[in-house]
Amino acid sequence: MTRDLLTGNAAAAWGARLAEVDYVPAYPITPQTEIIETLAQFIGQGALDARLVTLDSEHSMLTAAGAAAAAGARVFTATSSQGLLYALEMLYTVAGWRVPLVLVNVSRGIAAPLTLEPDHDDVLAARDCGFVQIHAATAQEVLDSVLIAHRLSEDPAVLLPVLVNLDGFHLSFTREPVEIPDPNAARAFLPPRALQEASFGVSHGVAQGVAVLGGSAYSFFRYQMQRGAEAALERHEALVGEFEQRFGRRYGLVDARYLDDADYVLVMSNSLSGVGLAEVERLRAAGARVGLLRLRVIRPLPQRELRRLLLGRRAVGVIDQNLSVGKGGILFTEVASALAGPGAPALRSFVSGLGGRRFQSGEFDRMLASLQRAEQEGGSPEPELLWTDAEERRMRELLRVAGHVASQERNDAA
Amino acid sequence: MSAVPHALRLHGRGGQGVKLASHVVSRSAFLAGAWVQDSPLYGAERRGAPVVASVRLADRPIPERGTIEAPDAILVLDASLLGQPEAAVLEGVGEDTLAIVNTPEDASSLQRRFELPGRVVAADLSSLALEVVGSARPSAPAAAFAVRALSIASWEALEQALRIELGDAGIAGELLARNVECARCAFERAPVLGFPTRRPRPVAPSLPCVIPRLPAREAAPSILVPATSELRSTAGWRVFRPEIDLQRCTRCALCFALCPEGAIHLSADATPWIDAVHCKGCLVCAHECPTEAIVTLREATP
Repeated sequence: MTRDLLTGNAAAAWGARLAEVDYVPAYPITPQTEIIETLAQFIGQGALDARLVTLDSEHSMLTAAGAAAAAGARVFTATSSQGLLYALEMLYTVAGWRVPLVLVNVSRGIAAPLTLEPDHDDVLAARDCGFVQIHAATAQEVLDSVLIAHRLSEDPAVLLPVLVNLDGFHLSFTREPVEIPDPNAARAFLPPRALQEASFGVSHGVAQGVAVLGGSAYSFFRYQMQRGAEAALERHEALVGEFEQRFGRRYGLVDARYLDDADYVLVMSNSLSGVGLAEVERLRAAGARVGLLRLRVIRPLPQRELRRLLLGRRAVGVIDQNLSVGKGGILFTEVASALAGPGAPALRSFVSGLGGRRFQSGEFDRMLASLQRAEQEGGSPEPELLWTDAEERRMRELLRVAGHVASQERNDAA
Repeated sequence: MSAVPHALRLHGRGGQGVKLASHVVSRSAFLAGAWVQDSPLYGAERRGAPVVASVRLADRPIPERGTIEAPDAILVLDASLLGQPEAAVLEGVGEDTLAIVNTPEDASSLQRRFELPGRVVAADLSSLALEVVGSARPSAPAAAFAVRALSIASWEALEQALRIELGDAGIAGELLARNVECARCAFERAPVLGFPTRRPRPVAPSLPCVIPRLPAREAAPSILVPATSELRSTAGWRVFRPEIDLQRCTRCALCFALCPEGAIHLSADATPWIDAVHCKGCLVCAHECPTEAIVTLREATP
């Protein structure tokens, strides 16, 4: 074991290196490119015996990844944002093939307007495709999750691809201390992939993902994906137990902080939950019984765990760094449905962090006050879009510079 | 026309005009003032493969959708489908379902042979089409026969429907005229029965089954062994069967090379032979044979 400063991207590449992957189909996109560059460097140095192939698009990249996985290779690939959306058709397809592979997504807001900074509209667009989704909060968790993801994906009860998500910029380009496991220890946790009977090769063909006209056969295979995802929840618990024994770090389906006595709980995901944790600690120091729940495994959604931890609370607020236009926060909807029934707490929905928007410290006081009101007034499905006067004034100025005449000025001129 | 929709399900083979026949039936009823709905079940259509279409008729908007599960009547354009379970011609067919079958066989023999539970009306519409139109495609006479037998519409409405629907299918001039004439013969030949009065079906209890969690490899939509298509006979797809006259055959092997189904094989001495189980009757071989050594024979009804 060594300790070094790694970006989230380098940590992802280290995860693939320690997983001793065989094949890396690649297509670059900011803020993911560093992962591919780092892996190319590892391969060039002879530190990783893998084949890295640049494809013509993310769509082809995922097709190649799925085909190589079906042939028995351990496959790692990575993308972001527009690239993930371009590959979306093939995400559904390779998940339906029931082949194991790991895809890292480096979250970035989706155009238009164009941005490079993070939010989770990209990764949550791939929510329903059959990939298991693990959302990491630190560079250490990125590296560890890539190892866990390969084990989980290759588990014979699961055989679904696994996506590991990390925030662009906040994590992808941010260096922090990371413990890099010893290669032998990593190999003991994740041995070389056992070749499956169903793998195809030059000597034995397999028809993969055949047509099944007739709703019953189609339903059967889709229901089996649901069963595989349910198995992933159970297998994850066993795997992280073994991981903790070997490496001393524990990863739950969710990361629960200060929940023992919490009347109010804020739900977040990914790297800005660190910001949320610091704010929760500040509010607790001022006497508020508030806790933080970070969603880590988002598909399959650990509904039983959410009910165990959140039913009976006075109020729960979900902070979404995504926006389902016309509805609101996606994770709010997910959490609300998981908590439906008797004992459900009053729920509030907050949207922030779009395109890398920073949280204001005072917004956490506002959100806590909103939860305290919700306890009296009841919950609400309407999302509160976090926004400040200072931002509003700045946007007015930018719009003026861009040639938009404010409606007040237009009225004056007339 | 009734409040509860009348339901006619059509069965045939790709190329017979099953969908066209369903359009003619529904258009006739539409022109006669009914509310109608027609829908073909599309799959991997190929000439000769089983095809299904549904027609519903009522005096008001029809809430049901999809393939008819319990038909009041079925119209079978190819009787050989009755012997093929995967074609599901008899699905939902009960004692009070009327079966109209295009076949030279007589109705009682057909009823015994396939254990048909309800009333059967047989008519040799393919021979009629061959005779009047010059093609074995029975869509127009079959539609006309059904319109008359089920009392769906008058000849005037049917004729207009034929001109509209066959016209939309690109059939015009002499060919259209012959089809209309053929339909007229079928219309006049049909017994007038009307839709049978069906007893309401009790709702079958739904027995829940918990989807098991299978090992993931078994749960994947993959086929691990080769040549599963050999298990399926496509002999019934043929209207005509090719036969090789070995006296005229020069062993040039063109038929072997050009058969799109790989159903023509060569013996050790290069003599070609036809795999009758997998030949679909496309007749490419007969068309291409340079010495015209391949003859075509109409498939006899067994």
